[in-house]
Parts: sequence; structure tokens; C-alpha cells
Amino acid sequence: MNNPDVSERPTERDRVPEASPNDPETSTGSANDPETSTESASDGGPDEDPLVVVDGLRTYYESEQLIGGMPVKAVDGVSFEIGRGETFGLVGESGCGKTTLGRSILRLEDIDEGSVTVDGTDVTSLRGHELKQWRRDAQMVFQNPSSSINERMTVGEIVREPLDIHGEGTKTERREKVSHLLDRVGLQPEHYYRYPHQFSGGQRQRIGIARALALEPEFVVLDEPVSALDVSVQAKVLNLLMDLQDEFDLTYLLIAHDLSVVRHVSDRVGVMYLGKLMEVGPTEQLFQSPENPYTRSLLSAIPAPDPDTRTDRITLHGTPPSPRDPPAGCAFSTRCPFKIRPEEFADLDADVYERIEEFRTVVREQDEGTVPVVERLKARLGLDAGYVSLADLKTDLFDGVALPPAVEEPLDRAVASGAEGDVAAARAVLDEAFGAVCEVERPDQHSVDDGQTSRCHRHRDEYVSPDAVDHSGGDLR
Amino acid sequence: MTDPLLSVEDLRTTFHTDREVVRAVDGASFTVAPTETLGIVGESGSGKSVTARSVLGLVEQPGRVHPDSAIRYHEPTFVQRIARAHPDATFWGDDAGAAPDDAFVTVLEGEQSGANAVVERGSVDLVSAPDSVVRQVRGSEIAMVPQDALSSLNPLYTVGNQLKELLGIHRDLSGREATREAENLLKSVGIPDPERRLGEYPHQFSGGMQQRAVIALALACGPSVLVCDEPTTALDVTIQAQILDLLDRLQHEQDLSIVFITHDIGVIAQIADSVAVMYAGEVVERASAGRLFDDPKHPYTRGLLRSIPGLAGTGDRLPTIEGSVPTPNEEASACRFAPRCPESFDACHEIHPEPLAVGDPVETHGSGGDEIPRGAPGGEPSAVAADDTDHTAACLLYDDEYSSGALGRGDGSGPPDGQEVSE
Repeated sequence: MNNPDVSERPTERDRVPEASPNDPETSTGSANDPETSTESASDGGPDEDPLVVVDGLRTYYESEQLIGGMPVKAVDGVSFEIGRGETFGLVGESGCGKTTLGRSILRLEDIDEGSVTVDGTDVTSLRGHELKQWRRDAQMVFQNPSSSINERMTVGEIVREPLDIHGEGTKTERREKVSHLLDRVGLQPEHYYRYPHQFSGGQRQRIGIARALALEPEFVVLDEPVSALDVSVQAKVLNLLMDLQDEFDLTYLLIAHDLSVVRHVSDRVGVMYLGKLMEVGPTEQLFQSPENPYTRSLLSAIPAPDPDTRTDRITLHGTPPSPRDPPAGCAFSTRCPFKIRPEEFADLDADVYERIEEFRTVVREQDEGTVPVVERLKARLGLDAGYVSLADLKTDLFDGVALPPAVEEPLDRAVASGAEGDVAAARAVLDEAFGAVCEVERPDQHSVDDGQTSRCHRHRDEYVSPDAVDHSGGDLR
Repeated sequence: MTDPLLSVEDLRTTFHTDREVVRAVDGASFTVAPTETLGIVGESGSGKSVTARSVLGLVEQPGRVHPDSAIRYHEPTFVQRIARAHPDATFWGDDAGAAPDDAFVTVLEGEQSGANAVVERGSVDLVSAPDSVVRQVRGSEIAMVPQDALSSLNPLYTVGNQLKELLGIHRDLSGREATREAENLLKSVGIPDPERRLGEYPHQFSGGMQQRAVIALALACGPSVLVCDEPTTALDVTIQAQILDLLDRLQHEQDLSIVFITHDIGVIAQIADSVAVMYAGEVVERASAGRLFDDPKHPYTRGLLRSIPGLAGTGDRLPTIEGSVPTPNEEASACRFAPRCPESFDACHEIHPEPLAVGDPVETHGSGGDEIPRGAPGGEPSAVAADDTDHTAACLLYDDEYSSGALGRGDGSGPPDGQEVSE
């Protein structure tokens, strides 16, 4: 897709939100939750009969605090499908929940809501013997090749362990099978009796791969399989994984933060941010024409291995918010360079708007409780507090900048609240004055192109779509 | 051509253990010009980090920098200060061979008048200089940004405390003055609300913020050279982009020279002016970033560039380099890359290649023929700076004496992927 004219966008966006619940057997767990059902949407994968269907999956880690603690919403309503024999790449920054998602699908984490259907079976309800049987078909390769294998077992024992546990064949058969597996992953037969510490990182990862394949699974979750390895070793392990996929008809869920690895290996890619799947699409299409503002920022941040293409990098401000207290609206709204502005500030100078955003960021951070009570008290008593007072902050940011009254007035009210030590009130004032749709409403999943869906308010008809927006400022209606 | 700000000549750093002597850095040479960014790239075990630590004099037991190595710092004001303080150890002139053994300051141009000496061009050799001199360089002239920000900050002290401690030691600031300066430093590295942040502990900072704080610490004493050892490796791409932008801005604002060590070729391509590729303790190729990526000469560099996913077509097998990086534990008698090299020929296993000029068409075969242009003293005084003619590779393919018929042989495809050599 080569960036169609802006005027053509609406027609393409007409095939929009698919709120249709999936087929009955998958949506059972979530039918009574309106939010989940709007979020679940078939993402038009290439496969009519997908192997894995994830629907409205939520995994929360409960707070350790006795009262008033908020759970960490590690995976917060994710739906997608993985076709048979496909490699689905899952990318995102650290802490976005991609590993938790992978582990939840394999039932290594307790799921709070939603369903995972593998080959027609809802695995979230499996118990006991059935669960054990199913686990043969779904395996995992872990990120850290040195901590995920037992240093005290020989390589042969490590690879044989799954076979022992599931009682596969006779002892001789099992040993033969292990030798075969070692050979398949590029290790030597004599490695059977060696210990993991005698191997390099790349070789240890091969051991982990052999173990995952021992029970001939259909589906393998690869959690950052090459991120601990050097490029030249990484290339070998990726080649191996691709060969094994062909040989054993494997379906992969590849979790990685290295986008070039994902691009190289995956058929389709999902981009996660703060527990949500922001965009899903076929790999090349998604990398060529990312629609979601987050995907665009993320892709632009990859340093291209070519000094001549110093890309027009979109540098995001700040860091992802805490998954304990995600933004009420779009998860990406606190950092989004494409954020929709409120109507009345549409024509505001880009620089002034950015300063307002910075002011809000500081207020938000102060409100999020990193300022100790003592410091707040000090501020209230007019003592020299250990953090910037909002009045000083305003002077810092806006000194000599002409502000229209619609901007000045709420800023002054926020400063006044801040002077009373009530940062929460200041934050509320600012949110009310400058908050836009992105901060209040959760964006739906919009179908933006063939098999490509994106979660962003800008795909709605009334707003300018992300690719028509000059992110450095300008028209942010 | 200008003088470099920092030149490293034939750096050898060895680690002596009971079992063997590991030659972590084995004859590495490179230069850094003022305001230049030199990228040092290599796989783990290639000696990049030890190079950085050697430059800063931070190699600890059982490691040792070979006394014949030279790490020369050329900043004139600093050289002048040291020359005045150590007139006995100052050598005036450009004939390096005539310098007495205990001289660590070399002055090429200046006025020799004892305590009022004026230095216009010269250098201080940090390998032979006494610790007292090295301490004046470390932090104040050459500073380091280490890889793991969290472990280089003290978890028991607030970030403000650590900044102020540094300002107290190096710049004699204390109290409110130090607090103000610490605030300015945090602000300059893009940390919002520095007043509050100064009172926080390192664990309260996010990864990117910790790295910014460490950069603030490195900049506290106004160094001219910043040695960054994998400063973005532990960070996400969006945060990495922020840090790269920050370093770029600081470099312009403060006229910094940056030595950027990384294994990420993408990062090198984006920020480096010139690049040194390291393999098993040696610099195997040096070139400007543009030349290196357009026309890599050393088979190792080519293999490395090819094995990055994204450059090869999607879904295809990635070209790989056979084997793994050897541990250099004896003197090189042959090319260390030869056992893995798809283009190696007989001589590669017998002769150790020296860096040769491989720059296209302007080949200045000078006096020594194929000698690498060495830094300041001896020979041509200013035969340095990163320029396209400075493209060198340590490979016999480019040595006419051995390579007749070998050039162009083999396209690098090599034998099929499979075995790694264990142990």
C-alpha cells in the first residue's frame, strides 16, 4: 500500500469496527462483558481455520498491598489469531505484557478473563489430566538460555526429561529420540553427556529448542529466543528455527523486542503497548505502512544499519505509564505525538501545545505519588520543597510566551491548586481543560487495510488519519 | 588535517591467570578527532569493553596494559598543564625514538620555558603517565558512560547525593551551589522536574532515566571525550532513540568527542562518523561510516553486516559466519579469523595480517608502503583523521604479496550452517 490520498481514506475506513462477537464457543467467557465483546474482533488472518484463537484475554497480577492496591494489568483485553504453520510475531517494549501474553496462552499464568482456543479446544478450562495432555502440544523456548536449563543435568537428561515425564516409549527409544533431536538442532551425539556450562550461549539455546521439540508439539511460544545472542549466532539460531518449522509443521508465537528479527521471521505481527494489542497485520504490510501512531513511532526508532538513511525519527517523550494505573483512554495517549487536540486548541502553536503537555506530564508524575507526604507538607507550608512548585514550573515553561486566555486560565487554576498542596485537583483541572478524546475514550479496533487492524481514534471518520498528520506539530485536529 | 584528540596506538591489554594469558586487546590502534564520533563494533569477547576500560585506566588485576602501548590525549590546554607540572617528564620534539623512557608528555609545538611552558601541539601518554596524572584525565577530560546504568549508580544514595559528591570532589562545589549545579546537569540531560528527581533513589528512575542520570554524572566535570560502553544495549528502541538524540545534542552543545562501543550495527550506522571493527582483540577494519557500510573490505565485516536480519530478504535464510569468536590467548601467528573465513587461503593460516590501506582510488603508498598511518610523533606528524583514504583492513586479501589469485575467490557463501565448535 503506498499511502493513498487523504480524500480516499474514509472509503477505506468504512469497513470499520468489527464488533461482531466471534463464533459462540470462543466468546462464552466474555459475552456478558460489553467492553470485551467490542474489543474482540477477528483480525482477518490469512487462515480460515486458525490454530490458536485468543479472545479478550486479560491477565492481572494482584497487588501485594493489603488494601488500596491496584492490580498490574499486564495483559488487558487482547484478541488475535494464529494460523496453522504461521509465525506470529509479537513486539513491544519491555513491560508491555508480551511475555505474560505468551505465558498466559500456555496456561503458565492464571488468566483473569477471556479465552484461548487451540485447535477448537478452549484450553482455559482444561484441568488435570487433560491439561497435561494438552501441554504436550504446546511448548515454550525461554529467553535466557543459561537460567532456563538446569546446570546440574546433562544435556541428554535435559532433553529427555519431557519424554520421561510423559512416559514416551522405552528407555532405549527415548535415548535414540534425544540423539536424533540433538542432531536436528545442530549438536553432536557426544554432547549427550556434557553439562550446560560447557556450551556457548548459542548452543545452550539449541538445547532449549531440542527440549521444546521433544514431545513433537504443534505450537511453540518462542520468548525472545535470540535476544541474548550475538548477531552472528543469532542468525544461526533463527535459521535453525525456520528449518525446524518447515520440518515439523510448527506454529510459532515469536515474542521479541528486536523488530528486525520479527520482520525477518514472522508472517504476521502484533504490536503491544501497555497490555493492549495496538496493531496487527501481515508483516511486510505492517512494516511498510504502519497505521497506528505507536507502531509508526516504534518503527521509526529502529536504527537502520545504513548510514545513508538517517530516518526521520519520531522520538517519543517519556516512558510508558505504569500498568497499575493505565490511562483511562488510549493506552498510548500520554506519549502519542499524533494525539487529537481538543477542538478549541486546534490552531494553537505547536510549541505552546508541547509546553502544555510537558506541564501536564510533570503534574501527572507528581500526582502519581512519587512525591512523599513530607514534601507535600513542606510545599503547603511554603518551605523549600524537594520538587518544583507549579508556579515555578509555569514560569519555567511559559515565561515570555503569549498565552490565549483559554490556556492561561486553567493553568492558573492548576497553579493555585498546586499551591494548596492539592496536586490531584491541579491534574483534574488540566485534564478537563486540555484532555481530548484520546485520553477519555478507549479506541476501538479499526480495520485499516487487508488483514490489518489498528486501535486508534484517528481511524474514525471525524478525525484526520495518522498518516496524514504532521507529527512535528501542525494540524492535530 | 587536524590532530586527533585521542589516539590509541598498538594497545595491548592482557589478563594473566594461572592457566593462560588472555590477550583481550591485542594491538588495537585508532584515533578520535575533536567532535568526532568513533564507533567501535564487535561481538562479545572481541575486546571492545576492555579497550574502553584501558583508555580510562580502569583495567584491574589481573589485567595489565602493555607498557609499549600508547594512549595519547592531545588536548593542548591539558597537555600544557601537565608539561608545566612535570617538566622532567616532558619531551620536546617530534622524534619519538629519542624520547627518554620516563617521558610521558610529548610536545611537538610550543615554547619550552619551564613552569611557563606554552604548548600548542602535543600529547600525554596515559599508559606511562603516573596515576596522579591519569586521575586528572579520568572524569575531567575523558569520562565514561557504562553499560548497565543501575549497577553503576549506588542504590543507597539519592541521585542528587551522587551528583553532589562528584561535584564536591572534582569541582569543589558544595551546599546550595552544588544542588543548583546538579539540577542543571539533570535538566541538561532531559530529566523533567530535576528538583524532585535529585531526592530520589536510582531504583525510582526508569531505565532510560537512569541512563540519563549516568550521562549527567559523566558530564559533571566537563570532559572533552565521552567513552560510551554499550549505553543503549539494555534499553528499548524508543528509549534508545531518546538517548541517541540526547548524546547527539550534548555532542553539539559541548563539543564532545564520543567513542561509542556497541554490538548493534544499526546504532553504529546512525551515529558514528568513523568505525573500528574489532575481532578477537584486534581492530580488523577501520573506515568512515559511509565507506564501511558501502564497501566493507574485511571478510569478517562483510559477514557481520550480512547476518543482520532485515538486510536479507524476509523469510530467507540468514547468511552466517561459521564457528564462534576465539579467545585470543597466545600471540597471533596467523589471521585469527582465518578458521571461520570463507575467503581464506593458505597464507592466512601462517601469516598474521597487518592493517593495510584499502581505500579506493587515492592510495598513497608512502614510505613504509602498507603501514597504517600511526598517530602523532614519529613519521608524518599529522597523518591521522578519519577520511576516506583512511580505510584500512587487516587482511591478506589486500596484500599483493600473498593474494595473487585469491582475490575475488569465494563469494562468502561458505559451507552450510550447522556445527559450532564447542570448548
